Amino acid sequence: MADVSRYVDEVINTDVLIVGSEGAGARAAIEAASQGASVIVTTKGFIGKSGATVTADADTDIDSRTCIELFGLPGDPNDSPEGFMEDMAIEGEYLGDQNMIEIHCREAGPRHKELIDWGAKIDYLTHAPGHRYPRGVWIPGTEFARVLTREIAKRDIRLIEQTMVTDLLLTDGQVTGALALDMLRGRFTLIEAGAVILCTGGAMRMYPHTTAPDELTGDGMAMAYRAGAELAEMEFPMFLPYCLIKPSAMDGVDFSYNLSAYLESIALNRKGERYMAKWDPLRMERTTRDVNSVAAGMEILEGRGSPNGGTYLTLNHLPANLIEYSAEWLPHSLGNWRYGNFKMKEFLPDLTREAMEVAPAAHFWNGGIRINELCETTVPGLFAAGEGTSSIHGANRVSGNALTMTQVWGPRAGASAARFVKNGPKQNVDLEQLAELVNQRLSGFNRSDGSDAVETRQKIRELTFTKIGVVRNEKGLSEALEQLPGLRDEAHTAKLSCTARPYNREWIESIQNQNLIQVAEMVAQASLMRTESRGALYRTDYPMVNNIDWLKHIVVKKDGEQMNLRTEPVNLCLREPKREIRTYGVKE
Amino acid sequence: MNGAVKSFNVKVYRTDPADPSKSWYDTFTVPYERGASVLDVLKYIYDNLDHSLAFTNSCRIGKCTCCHDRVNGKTRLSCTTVVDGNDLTVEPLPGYPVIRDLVVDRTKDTIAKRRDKGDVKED
Repeated sequence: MADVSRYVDEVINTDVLIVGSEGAGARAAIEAASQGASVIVTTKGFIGKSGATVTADADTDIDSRTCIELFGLPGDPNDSPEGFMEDMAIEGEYLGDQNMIEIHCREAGPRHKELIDWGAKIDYLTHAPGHRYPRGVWIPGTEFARVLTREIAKRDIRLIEQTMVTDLLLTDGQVTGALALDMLRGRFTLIEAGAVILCTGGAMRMYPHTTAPDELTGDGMAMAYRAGAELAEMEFPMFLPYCLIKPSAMDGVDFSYNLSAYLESIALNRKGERYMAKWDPLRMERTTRDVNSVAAGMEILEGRGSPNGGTYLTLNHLPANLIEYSAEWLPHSLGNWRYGNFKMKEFLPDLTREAMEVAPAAHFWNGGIRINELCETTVPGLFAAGEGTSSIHGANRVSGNALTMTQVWGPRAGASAARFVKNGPKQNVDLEQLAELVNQRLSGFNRSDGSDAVETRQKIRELTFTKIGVVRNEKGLSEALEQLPGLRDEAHTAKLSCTARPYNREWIESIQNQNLIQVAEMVAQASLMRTESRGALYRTDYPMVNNIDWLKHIVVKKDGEQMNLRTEPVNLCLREPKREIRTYGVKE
Repeated sequence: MNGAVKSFNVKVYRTDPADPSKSWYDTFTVPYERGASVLDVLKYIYDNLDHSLAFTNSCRIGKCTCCHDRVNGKTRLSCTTVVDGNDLTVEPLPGYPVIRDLVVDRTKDTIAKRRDKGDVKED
């Protein structure tokens, strides 16, 4: 390793490297450390202050009977882990692996018990749609962040903040560590590791409107793909309807969606038509969130939207004093017109007079890196957990199950990685590969001419919204697949306008753009292959759910420079659906 | 930030990336839009006027607290601080070494210190 200092500023060594510090990553770290492994955790932001967990607003699912037995919550004793399994299978439209679902539902209780023992406070139990029983244990994301940060601090876990892992390193197909960019100082670190766990979340930032924080750019999924791992369910990014698109400060905020659950809200297109009448004349805006999202997407894409590319959501049919009073009784963070740290009256127009501009916002990544029950990927030494992994939610996630996923699968990944390191022979880092990656990552500084990372990001968002968004079809998907290679070349030839490396936002963005485009291509390819509509995928040219031909995973894998897609049957060991073709949005 | 009807000036603290002790203020003219935040303004400048502007942010809803800046002399989360069309001054969070422009080195807030004493608050 004598000449490694030519490429990187620092070399550090660990048994287990965990990329991502929040719900899943923190749990993985705690578990791996408790099994005696040395652990390094990296995060692009700060622990407890980055990623999706802290923003969750937030129920976490445990079957209702276990809620009574473990936490004394007012659950329903008729529920059981088996009941939870059934609802997950149904709501995921039978694409969730039922072995994985069984583990998920059985371990949800004990893993949350640990969290409560560490001091997490439960606010109450809620009953969210898609669940037959109340299963939503309300623990705000800020509470998860507080407790997990404290538990990390108590342990011998090395935390490296404001650092982006840009590439995995492999020798003979086995992970040997990763290249990390200290964003603050603009310096590279080689992290040698016996095992790497990716807990990096989704890629919602490829879309113009999203509820996710800015750093969710699919880094883990793109890195795993480049390393040769399999990914699945990539055609199911999930959207939440009626999220604000204006004012700009609240772009992607789901306040308006939450509000619509409690106050009779009316969705209108630019002609003032109540367009939901075409989709569900009985329930109108009270229909499922998938149908609400698809309906809005059609209005927007067919040119009947608002000036900023949304639709309108209005309360103007309600008296002003009724709207004002709602702030007193609306639950959670909606009360008193506060949301997060927003004083909403500073930002929003007068809701008694004006409609809100809203659109479906990217909310969650149902698919991702393919893992088995041990959180192993198909690459030796590479593990993954949490959002951005596949096989658990299937085609759609039920409300509250994102946090549960972090608590069940994080520890599993930590234990597996620690075991792998203990048993497995370690490979040495391939220095040639390291040198090539560092050179690639620095190329933007040397280019005299090239693309603009900000423009590339804007092009990505335009493409995703119109062609691989909430409404898809063969024409749009084919166009996306024609445009993406050009966009990929563009992203790889960014010219940086400032050559200084310390916190170079444009540099970071250019790397993230490459990851987003990689993930977008997987979404487009898998969506084109799936000639039906299901869960979070709606195709205008195949609007029916096809349980005869499409009870299958689509598995994506890199093959040379080609993206290889194949189908695999779904594990239906617990429950089978009717083999039929049925209407989208109607559950059994 | 479409549909602008008027504009205002934003004075932003800048540093020499090679030597953060060399600092100055740049003034940018940006369009005013109702309901924009200070973070939106910084993003507007970065996107449209100067790609080299350095600042950090994450959640955009005031929960993660990593966009602390000094706005008109007060410590604020830039993502949930509304702009009203009057001129603004944005400076880095005081009490920390400046890395570049508005980005400070917060590593002295170790995880143990944050755990015991809590985080930076708004003024």
